[in-house]
Amino acid sequence: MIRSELVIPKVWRSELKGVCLFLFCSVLSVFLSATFPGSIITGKLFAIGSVTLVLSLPLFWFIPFITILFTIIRIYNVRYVIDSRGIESKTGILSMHQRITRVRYEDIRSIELEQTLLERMMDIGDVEISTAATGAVEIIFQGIAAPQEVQDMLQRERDSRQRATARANNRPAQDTNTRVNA
Amino acid sequence: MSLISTKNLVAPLTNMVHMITILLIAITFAVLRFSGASISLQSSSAPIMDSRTTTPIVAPVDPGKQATQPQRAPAPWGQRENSQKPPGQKKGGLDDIEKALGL
Repeated sequence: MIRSELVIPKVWRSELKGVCLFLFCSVLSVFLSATFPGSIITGKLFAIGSVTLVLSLPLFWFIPFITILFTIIRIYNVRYVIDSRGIESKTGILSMHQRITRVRYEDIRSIELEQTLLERMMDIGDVEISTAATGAVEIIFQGIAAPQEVQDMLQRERDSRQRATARANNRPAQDTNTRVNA
Repeated sequence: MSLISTKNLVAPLTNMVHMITILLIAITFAVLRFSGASISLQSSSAPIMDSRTTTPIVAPVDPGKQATQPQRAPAPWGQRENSQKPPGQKKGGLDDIEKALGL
């Protein structure tokens, strides 16, 4: 039984391609800046009294900067929470459009796990949660660590909740039967 | 609990995801420095000081014009030192100033 709130972060391992691209672009940026010194723009930033602040900015540095910026946004843009009430997926935290999806344990129809070969080696993956209400996948926990454990935990919780609901539904019927027999 | 507390300051260091983010941002700034970025201070008063000190020395001196150049009036304090006071006159600061001004 899940009592407290559990936040499942998207791990950096899931953005391995972005990190590798960033490291490659970083090396490339240093090399290109040294090869083409004209790409470093210099200008006055602002002046305080008689002192002027002069900034030199290499233009090639923006390549790795933008790469890592988008990777960081992909990591921190989502938030997956598992608590006693159900599962919550919040996407678009850093963007203009935010979407919060909440699913109760009782409504979960299936929990699927999707992993590539590389993801299996790194113990990361996507957990897809479908509900009875819609045919499509309702929530996807993308790029989380130890997805097998998360899947097992959610399945256990769903089964226990569904058993409890079934027991609660059967009890009034049994009570009615005993009253009729008496 | 206050916003600036030990727990809040240490919080990013306890999370692996945040730690890697901090590391990657540090690498980004290292790349920025290695690429040749810099911030330098430039004092605008320095060139003015240079022009003041070097111009009279560097400027060519014309002997013809040198004679016609207006002579500077001697400093009042210099006059006071050189001037001899009559023995009967009172010594006063105001007299010195009046004499220096030619009144």
